[in-house]
Amino acid sequence: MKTIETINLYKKFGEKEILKNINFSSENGEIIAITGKSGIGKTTFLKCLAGLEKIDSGAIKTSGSIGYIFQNFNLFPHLVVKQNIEIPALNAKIYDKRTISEISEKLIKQFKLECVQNCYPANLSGGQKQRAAIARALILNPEIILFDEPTSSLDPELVKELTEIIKKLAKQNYTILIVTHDIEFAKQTADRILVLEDCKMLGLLT
Amino acid sequence: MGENGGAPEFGVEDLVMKFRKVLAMCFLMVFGTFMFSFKTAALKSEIIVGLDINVPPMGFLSESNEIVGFDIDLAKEVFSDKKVTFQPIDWDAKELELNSCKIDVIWNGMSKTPEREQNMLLTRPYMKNRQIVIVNKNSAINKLEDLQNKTVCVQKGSTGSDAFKNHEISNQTKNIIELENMLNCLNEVETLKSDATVVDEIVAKYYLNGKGLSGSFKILNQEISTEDYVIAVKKGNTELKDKIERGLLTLKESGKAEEISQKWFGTNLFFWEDLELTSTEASNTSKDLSLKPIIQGLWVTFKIFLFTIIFSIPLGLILCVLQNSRRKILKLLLKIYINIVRGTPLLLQLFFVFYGLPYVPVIGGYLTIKDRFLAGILTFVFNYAAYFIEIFRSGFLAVDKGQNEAAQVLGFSKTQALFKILLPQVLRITLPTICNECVTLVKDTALIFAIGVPELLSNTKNLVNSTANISSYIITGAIYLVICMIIVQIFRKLEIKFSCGGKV
Ligand SMILES: Nc1ncnc2c1ncn2[C@@H]1O[C@H](COP(=O)(O)OP(=O)(O)OP(=O)(O)O)[C@@H](O)[C@H]1O
Ligand SMILES: [Mg+2]
Repeated sequence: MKTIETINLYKKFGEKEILKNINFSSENGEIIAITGKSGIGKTTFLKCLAGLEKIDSGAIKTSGSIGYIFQNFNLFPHLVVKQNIEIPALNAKIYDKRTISEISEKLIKQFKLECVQNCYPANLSGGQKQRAAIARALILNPEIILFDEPTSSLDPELVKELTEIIKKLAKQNYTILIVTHDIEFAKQTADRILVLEDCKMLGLLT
Repeated sequence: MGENGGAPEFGVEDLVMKFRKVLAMCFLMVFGTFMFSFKTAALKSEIIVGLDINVPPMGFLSESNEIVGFDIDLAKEVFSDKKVTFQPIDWDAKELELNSCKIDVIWNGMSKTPEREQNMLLTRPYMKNRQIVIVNKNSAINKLEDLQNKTVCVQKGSTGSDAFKNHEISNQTKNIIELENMLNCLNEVETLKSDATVVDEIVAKYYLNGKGLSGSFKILNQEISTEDYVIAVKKGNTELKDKIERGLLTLKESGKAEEISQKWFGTNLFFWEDLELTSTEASNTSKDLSLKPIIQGLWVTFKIFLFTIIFSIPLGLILCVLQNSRRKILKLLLKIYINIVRGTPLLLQLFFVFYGLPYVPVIGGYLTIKDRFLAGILTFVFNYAAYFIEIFRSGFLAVDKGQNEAAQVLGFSKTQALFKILLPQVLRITLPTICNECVTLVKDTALIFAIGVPELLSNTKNLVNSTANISSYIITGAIYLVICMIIVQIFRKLEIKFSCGGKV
């Protein structure tokens, strides 16, 4: 089943073309890595998918909601980890407070954040921040998760851990898109690696 | 924003805390020095005459920027053997100026009051200023009783206005109109809009004489009240007082005084009783220092501060958010508003709101704010709101763009993102700047006196002037200092509370 599909996606900033007629699709439970030179438009592509950038023409079809883990996580600095995780659900009012608290506790356990759940983001390590950001993205139960440069602030130990986490998520049927420079990490993690070049998406064998 | 980011943790704060007492001492010492720096009177060949240069025809700035006037001419004659300097002073500080020997004489159409008699040494009256009734030359009004059921206009806040309202005849008039200045009053009478006006004889005659309008009006023989104009020197300086009185007597006898009067008023208003020259000095009772004016002033200052903060911060925040909206006209209007408020002195804004708004064409009538305090508060609120708009704008700019994006992908509505994500961060970021504004406001409150609202500083100044005791300045200075310190402490607590694990 296709979870995300772009048809002739076209995006430019002013006169500068970034993405030209991109046709892309992903399957349920698939892990896709996207690499490419710096400034080529990878982040822009993710932002288009998440609706953070308007596209100039073409279409994006998604089967479910999207979770986005930003390169610098963008945790809310004025809220502790637990609040950070819960606030999207509290806003959406999908469950009552009690249920939300239970779900967040489960996520906190799953991502080993118990000891920092009452800490502010400023006091977290890079890895803890990343796990908190993932937990926050998961509380709304998205079908697709987008990662922007997830390994940029992690040491090799944590990169390994992240690979595990991502693989586990894929097993739970999340579709995962990773933008990364780290080819080694991409090879370890992804089912498919794509290269963005000249505003086009090129396939690449793993 | 890491805990250990940036400069090493040098204990500047600790240092300040430690030396707070020392700082306070320095403060008091500066005041003390100022207090004792008043020079004692020296015998001089130079005489400094202090005056408020806004009182034509007694003393004022001519078109060529020279100080001229009736009193000026008299003083020049009396001190013809000396070098005379005319020093413009703040009228409210005249006693202080005199007592601190900054000036030697106050000669400025000053009326005699018991209070002044106690604080200064006064000469005998050299002029009588009467509050007279002026009517149109064709009017049937000939005596005070004729004012029954008539419309009388007066100049707001003038001696004539007060005297007339205290006069019994004022109860029988149809109505009393208060106008901003005397020329308006005369104009009303000339155009028969009002039946009569009560004005200072001296000022009125000066204007009528200068404009050649004496023929258009009629002056009633009965006056509403009179006051004596006197000249003041420092208490104890009988030598100077005698010199002035002798000088005036000579001027009268030589006819020079009458000549000067003719020049300014077209008639002789100089008045000098040939009494024996006796120097009677009022008993020198030094008044006890009363803290009541200071406390009353403090309360007013506190109210101004509180109202301004309570209204201007939310207003600034709301306008700041509106400024981000896409409505171009709104944006433009806000920009104009901010630029005007930030580009002009607060003092001028106070004047404009209280005195100027009624003169705005067409809608001026609706914009008149009678209550001085209210006018002041409104000005302060709108002034500070303009600054807060910019402060909050800088706060919004300082919040990472990613925060908004995160809120968006996490399904926040625009309002939710504003209230739950952006605003808390903006407030936290801007706390130090808001603190700064609050401290500035504490001191800015004193400006409201410009539109006649007595507050802490002006009350203190009056107290110092009337008691000739500088210690009230020290008390008030300490009060301001303490208020500011309390505010700073409160904001520090807030900063720590909302630091969210970041660096404070
Ligand atoms: N808001 C914007 N307005 C104009 N140009 C932009 C904007 N955002 C990005 N760009 C430009 O679009 C191009 C693609 O940017 P993007 O951030 O997608 O690159 P990237 O592939 O993610 O690079 P990196 O690997 O360095 O993160 C860049 O040249 C950038 O300058
Ligand atoms: Mg990027």
